[in-house]
Parts: sequence; structure tokens; C-alpha cells
Amino acid sequence: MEEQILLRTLGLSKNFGDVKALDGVSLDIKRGEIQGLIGENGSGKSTISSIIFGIHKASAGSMELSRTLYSPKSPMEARQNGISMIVQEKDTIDMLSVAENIFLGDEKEFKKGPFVDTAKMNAEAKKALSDIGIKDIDVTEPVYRFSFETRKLIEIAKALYYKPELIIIDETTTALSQDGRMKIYEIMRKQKEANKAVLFISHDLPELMETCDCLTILRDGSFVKKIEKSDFSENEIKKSMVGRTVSENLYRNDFEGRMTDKVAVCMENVKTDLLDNINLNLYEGEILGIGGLSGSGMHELGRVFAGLDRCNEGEVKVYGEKLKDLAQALRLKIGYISKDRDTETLFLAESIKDNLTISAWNILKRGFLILPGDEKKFAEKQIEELKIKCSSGNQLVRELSGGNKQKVSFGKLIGNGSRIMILDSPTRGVDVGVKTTMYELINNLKHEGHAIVIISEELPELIGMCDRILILKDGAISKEFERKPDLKETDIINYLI
Amino acid sequence: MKKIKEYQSELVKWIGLVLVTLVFGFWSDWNLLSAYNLNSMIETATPLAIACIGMAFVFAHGGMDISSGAVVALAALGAVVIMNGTGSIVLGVIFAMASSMVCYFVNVIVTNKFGLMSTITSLAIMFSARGLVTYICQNTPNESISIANVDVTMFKRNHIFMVLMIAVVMIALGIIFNYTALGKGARAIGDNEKSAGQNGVAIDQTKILCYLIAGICVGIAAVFKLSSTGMVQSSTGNGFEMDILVCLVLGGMSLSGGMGTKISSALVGSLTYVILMKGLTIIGMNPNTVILVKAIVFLIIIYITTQRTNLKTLPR
Repeated sequence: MEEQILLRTLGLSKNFGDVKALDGVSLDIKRGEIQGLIGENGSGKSTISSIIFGIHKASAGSMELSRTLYSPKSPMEARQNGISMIVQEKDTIDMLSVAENIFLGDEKEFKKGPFVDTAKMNAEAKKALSDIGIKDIDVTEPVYRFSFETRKLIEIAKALYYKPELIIIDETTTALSQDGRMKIYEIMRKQKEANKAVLFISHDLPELMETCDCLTILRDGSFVKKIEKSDFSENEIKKSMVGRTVSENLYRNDFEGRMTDKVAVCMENVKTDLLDNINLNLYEGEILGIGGLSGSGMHELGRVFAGLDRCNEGEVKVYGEKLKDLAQALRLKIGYISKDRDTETLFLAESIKDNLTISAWNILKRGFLILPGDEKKFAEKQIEELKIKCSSGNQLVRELSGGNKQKVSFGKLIGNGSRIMILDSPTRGVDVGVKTTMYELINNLKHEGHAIVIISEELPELIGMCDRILILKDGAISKEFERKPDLKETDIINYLI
Repeated sequence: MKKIKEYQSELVKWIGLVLVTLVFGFWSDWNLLSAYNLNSMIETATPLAIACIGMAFVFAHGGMDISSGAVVALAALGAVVIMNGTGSIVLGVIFAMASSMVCYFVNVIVTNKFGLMSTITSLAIMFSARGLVTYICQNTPNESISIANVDVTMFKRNHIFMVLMIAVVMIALGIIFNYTALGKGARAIGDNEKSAGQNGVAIDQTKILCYLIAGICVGIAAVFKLSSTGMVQSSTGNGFEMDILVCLVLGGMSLSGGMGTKISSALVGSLTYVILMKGLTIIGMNPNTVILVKAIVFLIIIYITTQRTNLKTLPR
């Protein structure tokens, strides 16, 4: 059966800075096969598919396409080799017509002297669309006139136009209605019948089990196992997705629950574009965990806490006061660390001192003036307390490691006396050593009576650190868990997917 | 050695100033530093330096302005009308500052509200202000309005007063720029507006105050400009905005703003610029060629600053 293998990856690895997104993954994609790819957020699904499609370059390892070495430098090259991909995000350009979008980058195929033969291009576009069963689209219309679903179908037509040997579908179906999904399944089936291959990435386990011939499970960037259709079992798959071993003492060991019953933040029927009827209380001296998959609205909930996003309906009360905006949130001593700390919380091009002091100007102010001496003292105190590894307070933040950068973000919150701390993905891109320090710190802050929210995609972190865990699914709270010793990831994952 | 590295950019611009002075001093047989030339340089430098110092607040937060020349003309026009009408210099000065502040206030409000590039808004302000001045001047008998029965000698010939003015503006705004939440906030916005907001900098308010400070300074500059010629015509203030740009760049100011922005760049840059221009004139360079030299200097400095920071230096 060796000759049936279309694409084989050999020990593919990919590092983004300090973070290992993919760690030595080897897998085979056979002809006439629909292979599913599943794993939690950050398990490396999108990374490996983008390497196959030439968006990223692997840090180590190699690929073979029909038994010859394959290392695409660009998506263009991948397509020439018969590999197409439908990406997770929007991939069309609003102001271009449907036909122009389909043939973006391939205009030379329609050259007529120095011009593009639009008529021919439109005809081809129409053909490409009807090939996947869409007939009622005017290909000269700009794509922004069409719904999100139609735009996805246009992307699919583009991906299929060159009759790829392998088509990668990355979490596309979640955006589609039943009708659109049926079209995709149909396309996948045809691809299979033509003895070609499909790599199908989805969070929807029933869907994967229904459509795929085999399923590859990734976890933390590593290959876990490959399961054939005959052996599919929902429980088995879920267990493999989360079954990682973690050293026990990384997190807190107590099970004492929250310190007080004093409500710090109360949300009542909060609705935003993404969130649906959120009701919750956050208490002083409590660590509240919020978990979910990307797209579940967990990060948006964090922004609502911080006063960055406003609710369409319902209200957020902080110590009984209605929260209106960011400025008020800061007055009420709410501190927020964004999951994109490099672009939203920190000033990378500036010194540690400037980064630490900026959120504490109100405290440092003497009359109108903020004096350099005070700033220096303040920064040195934070650097010492948080054990930030640096040459001096004048070192630029961009020169620090991920963990030390995050310590600077923490220093901002602690320095300006925040009582309520909203930490979105606080340990993303942070190595284990610094993680432990941070967990200790968070636990200490809890004991000092701070109200803390940890938003995280890592279930072990939530289980290990939080007094209560709220699981978000499709913008609504699907389940609440209390802290207890025998809480397992497998208990939670059912409410996640 | 470490200290030197830390203050490297600060040192470079002062060395530049001294170098320009020495080169042209030597070239002109020290004629450059004669009492007459010194006074004339002070007269040129005063409005320029004051406007540059104010404008540093705009550039520090990542803004960009090319309306100052036209605003100077409009403010000067207002001032001369008020002075002639009331016979009061003080009222004239206040009116100049107020009208300039209004221009910049409109500028920043429009920029904030519609999310425009500040350059584009300032372009609109420039055309409006310049258009208004041209329209009014063309409807007067001499196509200009002169100062009548008011004595503006203080703004025209009192060189000690001029130097004092620069010093006062520099010290007052220097303190605000370096040691208050406003100045620090403005620079933080220049670095990363999103982070600044999430760290509690009141973005819109800070930007408005920065533009108002620039407005005050440009208003003062307008009074000096008005006094030196004694009248306003449609060409008053022409090219002033570009002179300000050249000065700031010459002083090593990053055009994208940020924490690293130094307000001293405004002062050193304008002094260097004035000496450079005076020096070129004294050694007998054709005035038309001087403009070309200006352009070349501008390009060279932009090249050097972009190389040095290796980051974005142009405004958004």
C-alpha cells in the first residue's frame, strides 16, 4: 500500500519564538482517504496544515509528496504541487469581484496583450462555481455583497479550481449552515472517489466521526495517535485529546475555596455580539477560571470585565456601580492583561521602567509632576518583588523573554493597586519555571483578597488554579465547576465541544 | 562608556549644532557671529523655535501637522485687525493665540471623530486658513493689512525679550513634556496607542491637549512673524510648516513619536537650522540654491534616523 501515500510528514517541528507549536509530528495522508485532524486549541492543527500549504516554514523535519521531497516556500508553490487549503479566517478581498477573487494571483492565465481578459475570466469563474454546485452567483459582483457563507463557498471554488490532489479544510464548517456543510461533505466525498485526499480539521467531533475515514489526534504540538473509522469511540478520542501528564506541584495544592463572600463584579444578563446572556458573580479572594475553545467568547468576556467592550444588553456591576468604560474600570481598580500582551498591554520598544510606571502615574504624581527619582524607585521595587530577570530598569522590554515580559505586565497591575485582575491567557508563551512563579503569585494575590479571573485555553491550568471554572460554549456559559481534587479534564471537555 | 551610549542621540544633535556653528563661523571669517547676524538669527529663530517646541507635542503622540504656516497667517491677520481696532497689543496677542488654538482644536476633533490621518485633516485646515487669509487680503487696497498706531518694537527688536521667550516656553513645556502625565501620555500614545489606552492614558483628551499646546505656540509665533514684517499678506507664513518639519528632523525627532521623543530636539533643531541657513546666505549662496540644500539636508537626516532606529519613522 506504500504507493498509496500521497503526503508524508517526517518529524515536523515549528517554533514560534520560545514556544514549540509543533514537535516532531509524522503523519501519512493516503489517497482515497478523508483524514480528520483534531486537538485542543494550541495543539498544532493549524500549524501543521499551514506548513503543508507553505504559509509557514518548518523549523525541523521534512515532507514527501508522492515519495519526492516537498518543501513549499509559498502557498503558490503548494498549489502548483496540487495542494489547496481553505483557511479558518476570511480569505476574500471585499472590493474585488467574485471572479477576481477566485483568480487572484493567477491573472496571467487570462492575459490578452497587456490586459486581463475579463470575459474569459468571468466565464471560468462561473464554471468553477458550478463545478461545486453553485449556479446563482453573479461573478462580476464584488464579494462584500455576499453572505459570509457564500464567501466561504467562493473560497472553496477557488481551492478546487486547480483540481488539487490534497485539499486541506481548516475549521470551515463551523461558519456554515447545514446546507453549506452538505456541500462541503459532498465535495469531500467526490475528492475521495477520485482517489485524491482530504485533510479535514474541525472541532466538531460528531461531524469528524461521521465524515472521516481516520482521525489523527494532536496534543500540545505532538502526535498522539491515529484511529481508524472502525475504532472510533467518542470517549476514547476525547481522552486522547486531553490526557497529558503534568507535574502535580506546578499548581496550588489546597482546596480551600474562595476567601470571602463579598461580590466584586456581578454580571446580569450580559449580551454582546458574541456573548449570550451571561450571569456571573466574581468574589473577593477568589480565582475564577473561564475556559472554552477559540470562538467561544471567553476572550470577549475578559474585555467586558475590563470595560473595553460594552454590552448590548444587561449590565456589569463592580461593587454595585455600573461599569461603563475603560476609564471607569481603571478607577474601580480593575486591571487587565490582554492575551495579546505584546501589542495591547506592553510597550515593547520602551524600557522596563517606563512600562511599569505608566499605569501608576496617579500614584506617583506629586502635584502635577512625576519625578524620575520616584519612577526609578517604583520600578526597582517591582523588578525586585517579581524577580524580573534584566540588566537594569532601563533595559528594553522587547529584549526580555516571554515569561519576563509577562512579569512586567503583572507588575503594572500590582503596582497600580488593582483589586480586580483579569488575566487573559496569563501563561501563554511562558516557560514552566516562570509559570510556577506566576501561579504562586496569583495564589498570594488571592489570599490578599484580590478578585482574580483567569481566562485560559489550558484546562489543566484552570483545574489546577481556580476556585470555580465557568465553561463557555458559543457565547453562553455551558457549565460551572467547583474546585475539587478529583476534577478531570475529561469531565470538562464534554461541555467544551 | 555605557552612559555615553545612553545619551548618544542627545549628544549627536548638540555636536551637530556646534559643528554647524564652527564650520560656518570659520567659513565666514566669524562674520556669522557678528552682533548684526546674531540679532538677525535670533529674530528668525524665535517664532520657529517656539512653534517647534509646541509642535513636539503633536509629533510625540504620532500626529503630523502641515497647517502651521497657514494658521500663522490667519492668527496674524486676526491679531493685526484687533490691534488696529483696539490699539491693544495684549488683546492682539490673546486673539492670535485663541484663533490658532481654535484651528488646532478643529483639527484634532475632526481627526479623532472620523479616524482620519492627522496629515489629511491638517491639509484641509491649511487650505481653509490660507484661503480665508487670501480672500480677505485681496479685498484690501494694498492686498495687505499693516500694523497702524500700535508699537510692536518689543516683538521686533527686543532680542533679550526674544531669548527670554524661547527660554520660558522651553522650560515650561519641557517640564510638561517630561514630568507630567500629559507629556508622558502623549509619548506613550506615539509608541502604542492600544497599550496606552489599556494602561489608562485618556487618549482623546491627551491628543486634544497636545494640539491646544501646539496652538498656543503657533499663536505666539504668529505675533513674532507679524511684528517682524509689520503686515499680513496672502503669502505670510508660507513654508513655515516645512521649516518646522526640517527643524524637528534636524534635531533628531522621530516622526512617529514615542517615549524616546525628546523635546530638546525642537530647540536644538531650530537653532541648527537657523545657523545653517544664515551661514549659507553669508557665504554667498543663491537663495534658490538654499532651498535645494534644505531638501537635501532633509533627505539625509531622514535617511540617518530611519537607519538608526530601524523602525517606522513616518507617521501613520
